[in-house]
Amino acid sequence: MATVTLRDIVKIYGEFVAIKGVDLDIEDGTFVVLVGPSGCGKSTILRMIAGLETISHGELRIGDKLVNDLPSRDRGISMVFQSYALYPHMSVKDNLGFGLRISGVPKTEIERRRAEAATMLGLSPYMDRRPSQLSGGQRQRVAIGRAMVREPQVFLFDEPLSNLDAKLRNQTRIEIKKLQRQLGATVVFVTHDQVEAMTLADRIVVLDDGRVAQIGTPLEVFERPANLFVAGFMGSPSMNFIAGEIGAGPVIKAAGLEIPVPPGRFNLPAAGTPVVLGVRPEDIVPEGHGTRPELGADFIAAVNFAEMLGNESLLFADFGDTEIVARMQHPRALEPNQNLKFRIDGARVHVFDKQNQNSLLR
Amino acid sequence: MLVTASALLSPEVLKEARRRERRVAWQQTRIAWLFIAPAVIMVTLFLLTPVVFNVILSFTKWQKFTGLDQFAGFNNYARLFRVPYFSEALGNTAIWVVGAVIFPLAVGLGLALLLRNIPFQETFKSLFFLPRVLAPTAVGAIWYYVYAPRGVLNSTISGISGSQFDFGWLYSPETITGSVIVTFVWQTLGITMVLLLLGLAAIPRDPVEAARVDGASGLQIFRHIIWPLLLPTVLVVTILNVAAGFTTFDLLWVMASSFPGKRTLSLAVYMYYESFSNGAWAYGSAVAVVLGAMVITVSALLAVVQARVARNIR
Amino acid sequence: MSLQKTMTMAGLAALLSVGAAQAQDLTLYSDKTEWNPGITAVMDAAGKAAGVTVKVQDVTPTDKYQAFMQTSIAGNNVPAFFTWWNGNQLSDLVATGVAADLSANWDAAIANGDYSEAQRELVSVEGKPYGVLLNVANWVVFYNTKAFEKAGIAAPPTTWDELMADADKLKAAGYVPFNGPTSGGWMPFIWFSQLVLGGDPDAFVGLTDGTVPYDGPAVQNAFKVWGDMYAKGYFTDPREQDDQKFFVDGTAAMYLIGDWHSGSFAEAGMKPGVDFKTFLMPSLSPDVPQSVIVEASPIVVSKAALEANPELGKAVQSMMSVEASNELGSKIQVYNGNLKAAAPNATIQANKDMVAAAKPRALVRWWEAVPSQIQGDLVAAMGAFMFDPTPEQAAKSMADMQAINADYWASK
Repeated sequence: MATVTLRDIVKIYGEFVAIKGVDLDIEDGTFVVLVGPSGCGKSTILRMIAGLETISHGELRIGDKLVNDLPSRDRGISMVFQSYALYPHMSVKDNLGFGLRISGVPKTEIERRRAEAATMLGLSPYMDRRPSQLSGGQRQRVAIGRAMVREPQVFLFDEPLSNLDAKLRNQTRIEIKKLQRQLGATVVFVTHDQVEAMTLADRIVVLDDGRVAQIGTPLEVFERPANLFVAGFMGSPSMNFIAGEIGAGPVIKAAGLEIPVPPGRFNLPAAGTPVVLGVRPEDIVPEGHGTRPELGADFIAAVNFAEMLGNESLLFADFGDTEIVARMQHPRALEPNQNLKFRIDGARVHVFDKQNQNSLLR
Repeated sequence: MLVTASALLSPEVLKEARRRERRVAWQQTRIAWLFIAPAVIMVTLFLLTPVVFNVILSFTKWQKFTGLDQFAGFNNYARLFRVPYFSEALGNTAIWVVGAVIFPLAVGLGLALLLRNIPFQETFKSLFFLPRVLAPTAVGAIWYYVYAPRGVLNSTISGISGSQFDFGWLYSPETITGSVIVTFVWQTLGITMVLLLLGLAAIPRDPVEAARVDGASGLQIFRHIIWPLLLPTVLVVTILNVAAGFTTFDLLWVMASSFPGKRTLSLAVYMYYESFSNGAWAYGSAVAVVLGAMVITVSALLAVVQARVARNIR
Repeated sequence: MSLQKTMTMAGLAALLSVGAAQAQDLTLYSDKTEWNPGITAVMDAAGKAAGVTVKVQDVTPTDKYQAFMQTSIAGNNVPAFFTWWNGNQLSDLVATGVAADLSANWDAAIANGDYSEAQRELVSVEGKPYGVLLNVANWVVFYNTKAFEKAGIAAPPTTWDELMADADKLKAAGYVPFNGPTSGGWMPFIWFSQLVLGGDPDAFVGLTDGTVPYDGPAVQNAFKVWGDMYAKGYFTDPREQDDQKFFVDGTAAMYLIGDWHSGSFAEAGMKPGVDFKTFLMPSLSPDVPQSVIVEASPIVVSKAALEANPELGKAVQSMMSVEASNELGSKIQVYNGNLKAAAPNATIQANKDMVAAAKPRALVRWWEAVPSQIQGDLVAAMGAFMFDPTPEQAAKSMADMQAINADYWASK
């Protein structure tokens, strides 16, 4: 296994600058997830690491070796594609053995590694089938097996779960994580799904428009989003953003409400400075549902619409000029436009600079 | 609210449901039948009837003015092996089939791979495709002058070698077949290349990239991934060119117009010659039947192989 | 018979797309494009005599014309008039029953002193005449007088050895001795048949009736002589498609061809009797008697057309008149044998005189004598040799010809 280091990586396509200078250190044995909306450049970065895209500028190292100009086959990487990219004309067995065979690995060794991967992934019964005769989950496991047998220094996953149905996706996610732990592998995993990112990653790299928006552990990224983009991207439903301004003392004023925040949590500018207040739906607590936050502010609003999810309900209500979403634990039936009393948890709100959109967290 | 569907499905209801489905099916297909009908009639009238007539003819004695009404059994077929020209024509046809398959494919594939990722691909494609839109007889006429004793080819050779060269490419049994095949390749290259480009474009990018990551070199990728995935297209092209090779006529007819051994240059030419020039209608028909049987057999075999290969890579 | 009918109809539908004759206008079909002016003049007069119009329509080259005519005849769509060949070609045609018996016209023409009984025989099958003569030609060697002069040849050769010696002289003087065309789908037989004839006239006849094989000694000898001549560079490039080009442009000094060709030479600017003269082709050795090939081309009249309009008899009579002969002579310098007519040019007259003096054995051309079904195949084998005049190709050509020939006669 090895580290992967990106230094000021740039990728241009003609006039279009896709990656605008990315620095990234991936430590040996860590599971790194590149996450971001489509077009943010996450797949491009992965493909540059794989050697499938040229690097316009910057340095890419795997281990200590500068690999910018090395062909894929000399980089010691394996990749699992979104479409699985199995060789349609080969059996599962040949799919697994292809890379080893053409690299001249002895037959007995191929056999050993293949058997190992097949056992680990439960592929043994399907070895003679062709990909078209397998289910989506089976194909996915063949793709992973094919990556495993090469015993690479780095595993690359390009949205490998997006073609699976929800149940299988959860299951495979867990399997991948287990495998990575078992192998102690360095993994770079690309996804647009923040849940996947949260559950799998040791480190999350949030990308926005070809730049790194934040790097951190899932908890850091969720609890301490560095800017509006990360705050909005991580978490579902998204964080509510409300225009506000600094009040007197550690207080944020928004929609006529004064929300107290813990002193020392933020580097607050002078009173009257406009800011953006960020509140996650779970931090807007309807009265009588869940623990009432100690520090906070109450308001009453009519529920425009309630989305029933079973164990919880999402409530849509007007807060000033903004429609906000609140999360209701142990939901109960509501009348249309029924007024509810909500409490915003002041200890958990986020405040962002209105100009540069960076978090004001200390 | 509980619903039990089975109670509603009495035999009468089922019968009515089936009747309704059938009526709708007929309403939906009758227009289709209407559109197919002219084609079916045309094919029967202008393809099947002449074929049947031709087969009957091949068992008669119809030759020049004589024997229109006499059946000859297999005599015409026996004659194929009694006179020397049939086997010569068969040999040349075999060369044609092999040449018409291998060369367009090899050169076309090479060009397709080269053109695949270059700018002005469309221009090059059109350029290579151009000969295809010319009538074969026009192509033949052009190349007749390329190969003429004082033609373009010999002039070029003369210019390079510095001494007068006036070899008769289209007058020597050793060179005429090869020369005309070159013309055929020139004409067929475009369509072969375009078909192969389509085939290449249809190959998903991912397995190719996977192979790259898997450690394959360019050559290995071609051999192990692209070629097997392109094989169905290659076989389609092969089927087309096999048929073209078997039935090659117009180019030879024009380009070999002054070659005395013209009739034996291919079975199609031999068939035409015997029927239309020599007046041996029945014998010519026998040649046609044999040629037709060969084309159908080989094409059908290839089609079966093609279908199997295509299924294997699905 | 219904099979015959069905096949004929189907065959017609499939094959006959070349224009069919209009009902009111009669048509004469021909493969002799260069003779159109003469034929047209003759048919204009003939049509006038019968009160009809006759168009002249040509289909070329010869092999295509033959195929076209076969199809027309098989489809019962026979033109009123068409040019044909005598010998076996005419027998085959007469066997189909489409040709009109022209005995009455010939009787009248002979009584009138226009033609002789011997000439009637040229176009007769089993004693009955089936054609009007369009051309009666002697096959002679044309030579370029200037070339002979330059090569120092005082008089045309009378023996084979002299001919060969003259050929050497001509070659030394920068000429190709012989024009050897291959075009038109028939010309390769010219030298083949001449060399068989020159070695053994009986074998020449036997070739065409199945009694002499195409790989026997007579043919072997002919190919040997032919090959030697090619080896010495005596022949022009066989690839040239204009048959008379090398003779009229002065490349080749001699051209063995029927004397109907003299008109074409004249048209190309060579004056008969001045720029070119003729001599009889000598046999290969002095022990072999001198012979000459006589070619007679008939115009055949459709029996159906004649029955439908008996007035056409007047047209036929007109075609056999001295006026018709003179039209051919003046327009295209072709002589149709009319005894009252003058020879169209000095060469043809000279040939007549030459033949009258030498009294050679007169023989029907190989082309007309050979069974029409195998004609084309045999000519192709001869042509193949002209393009590749090697002993190997000679052996192959002979084997091919004999295979075709034997197959034909075995099936008789």
